[in-house]
Amino acid sequence: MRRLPFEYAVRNLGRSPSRLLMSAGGCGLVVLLAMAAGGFVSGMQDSLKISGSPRNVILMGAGSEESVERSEIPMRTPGIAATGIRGIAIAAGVEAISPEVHLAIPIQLQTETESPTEENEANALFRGITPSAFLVHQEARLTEGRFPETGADEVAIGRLAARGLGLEGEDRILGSTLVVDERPFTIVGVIDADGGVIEGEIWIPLSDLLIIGQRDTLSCVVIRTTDGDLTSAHGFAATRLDLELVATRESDYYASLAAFFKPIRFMVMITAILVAAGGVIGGLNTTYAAFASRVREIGTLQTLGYSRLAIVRSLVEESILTASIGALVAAAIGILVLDQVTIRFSMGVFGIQIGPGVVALGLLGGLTLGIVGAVIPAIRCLRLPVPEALRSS
Amino acid sequence: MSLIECRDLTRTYTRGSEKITPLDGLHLDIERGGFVALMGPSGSGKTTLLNLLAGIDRPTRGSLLIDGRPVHTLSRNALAEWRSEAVGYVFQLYNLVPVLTAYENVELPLLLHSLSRKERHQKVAAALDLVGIADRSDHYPRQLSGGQEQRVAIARAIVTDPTLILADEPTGDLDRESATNIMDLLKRLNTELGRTIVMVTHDPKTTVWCDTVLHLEKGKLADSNADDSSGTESHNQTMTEISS
Amino acid sequence: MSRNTHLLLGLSALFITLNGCDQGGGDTTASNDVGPTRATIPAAFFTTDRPTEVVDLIQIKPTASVGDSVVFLARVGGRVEPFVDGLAIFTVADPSLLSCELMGDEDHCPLPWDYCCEDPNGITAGSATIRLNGSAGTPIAANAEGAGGLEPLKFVIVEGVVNERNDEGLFVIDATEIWVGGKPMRGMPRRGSLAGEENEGASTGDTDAGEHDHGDGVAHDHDGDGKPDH
Repeated sequence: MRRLPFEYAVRNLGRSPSRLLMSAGGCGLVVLLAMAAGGFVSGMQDSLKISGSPRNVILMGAGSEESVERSEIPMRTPGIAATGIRGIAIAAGVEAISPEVHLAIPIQLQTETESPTEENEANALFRGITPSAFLVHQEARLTEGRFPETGADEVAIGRLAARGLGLEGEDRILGSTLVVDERPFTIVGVIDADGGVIEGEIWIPLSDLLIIGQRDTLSCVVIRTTDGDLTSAHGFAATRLDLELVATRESDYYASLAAFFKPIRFMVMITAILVAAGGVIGGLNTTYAAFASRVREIGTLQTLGYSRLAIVRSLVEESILTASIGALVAAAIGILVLDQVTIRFSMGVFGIQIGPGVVALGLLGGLTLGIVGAVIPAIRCLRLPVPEALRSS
Repeated sequence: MSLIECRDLTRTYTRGSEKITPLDGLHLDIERGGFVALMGPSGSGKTTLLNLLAGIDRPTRGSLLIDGRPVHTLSRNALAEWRSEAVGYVFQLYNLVPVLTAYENVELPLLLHSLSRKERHQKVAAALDLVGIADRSDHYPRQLSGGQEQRVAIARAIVTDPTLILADEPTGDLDRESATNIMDLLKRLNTELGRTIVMVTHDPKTTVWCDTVLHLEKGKLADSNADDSSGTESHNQTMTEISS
Repeated sequence: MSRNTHLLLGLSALFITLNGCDQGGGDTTASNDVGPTRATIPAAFFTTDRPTEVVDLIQIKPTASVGDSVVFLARVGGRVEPFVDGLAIFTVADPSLLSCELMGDEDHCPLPWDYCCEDPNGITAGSATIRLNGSAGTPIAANAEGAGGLEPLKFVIVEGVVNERNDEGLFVIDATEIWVGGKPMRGMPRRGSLAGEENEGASTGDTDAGEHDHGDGVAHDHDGDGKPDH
């Protein structure tokens, strides 16, 4: 098959700048949407996937396996577990046992320019911890500032949680004030956790959170094992029926959370696909109008001896070029604007993740749009007999 | 042997329940090297005949041999290939591709042939030179006058050195002077290069350049005038008329 | 991070496997039993002769003291996972507690043996932990599920010694002998608890066969790491 010159496809783009803008813009929007949906899904999934260590076991309340926030276990659990469970890791001479309270609490940000109002109230996930939390959650690191002191109304904040509150840059984060139930807490530390859920949390001394939450129970006890063997922990939970515990591998817990949120991710993707389908239909119309206005020219090319396949190919090239312009612009916007935009959900905060896979998905979507959006209108236009095409104005 | 042999050539269209037969059992021979004008009222079948000769339409019945080739039997793809080799088509409205320059428009049919860039360049330059538009080869169609556009279109039609040149009212959209120039050019192609030309026209004045005028009526041949010797004379007379 | 996690998982798995290999056929009472030489539960723990004059768990739990010998009737269950993978520990619940399959509609709960429709405090008060210990006095490193026909919801009569207890619900029995009965049916909550009813409501023939195998003394091919502490 002899091809039409590629320049023909390229120059056809310039025929109608407004139409090019519309087509490329439409495609770009669809690509951006696909990337936003993909980034949302991948951000949520990755945040949960990389959270939790397979060496850690969470002891939480039986019946609350699906949400540690709902769990309540006796305060004495850590002490009993320390003697009842074998194979607990020891770091710096201390057993890696972290008693924790997990609570979602409404907070308000108070900065030099912003005073707390109901409008800027947001739900934040607090984790009440002791210093041993860093022995257990080894991915968590205080990258700035220091550990909050008990009774001093201080907190450390995850990097994503800070971004979610509009706090970027250490200078702005450290020293900022969060108002919890009309009580101001100063941010004294910033926590990084390799993108895991901890980055979306606010860490506060355990006893402070017990007071804020007016509770006398823990949410869970997280224990780091020496070798990832949870047999002893399971035996402990089945033995200490008085504590009403279940033992769950921490990585399994977050994996089950990821499974729990699967329908949400599914809905996001379905919505994106439906909107994209709308975009495709709109795109088909625009492309068809573009091709239909060139029916006589298409007839002329056939008269010159070009096969229909060669013409379809050229039209598809043209459409792919248009879509590529839109897709590339969208990808750039996605990377520059959407990446790491924070989303709040019941697990805390995660960042939209525009990684190579999502960008590839967007570009592939754009390419598909270019191909599908051109083939159908092209075939429709080429269905017209040549003499009729030549007569059209 | 004639270049074109039509036998019982019939084309019927169906529009809804109505059947239209613009060409009805036509018998026609056109000699190699002829310059034939096809005339007739609207719906007489002249454009249909031209389309069949060009291989962009296919007969419902009958046979069509061009240069010994049974065109009526060719598949769609074979027809396309045959067109690219054997037919040059000149349209009333030039039908140049607006996004390509004059040079690129003329080059377009050559891209269907296995030629080097250099060979293509030589052929395009020669064609543009022949139609007298070489100095505008890098102009886009919108930068050319109607007459110039038609010259480019003629260059495109002859650049592949086809056996047959078909022209559908080539002067229909031109002013008198341009029309005369175009007809002169076609006549030169016919006499100097020996190209066979079949031209549909409504304008009797253009027939003086032709050596044969075929009148079609209701899909059949109504009359013919085959006066080879008088062609040049008539041409000169009419040129004077057009010029005055 | 993801790569690190995989590395960690891989290393953990390797460590566990090596650990399992090291143990060989030795200390089957160790909690870490992952490996090709998994221990088995000695069949001597199980009896087909149903003890007579047995009371329900709830009747002895409040008064029993550590060191007391006890015999009681209960049903396997009381937790989402009544058996512990890798340790011969399982939980039982008092017959007065209503497991979900005995309630209204079919498929009432996905796991009927977690007694999810009962009051959690009631479950704690009416539950016990049964341990099958090896010679070292610690639970045998094997899942007890299937051994002697043990499966969730089945009636059991446990004979053993109280190892630990408190008033908050802790009640750990080191079993010496277990009779495994059948499962009750809706409207017949005690069915399966008497002699001759061992096959009532049994879910698979395999388990029953296993139970009888143990009963007639054929399947005594355990690792010989000791008899239960009678």
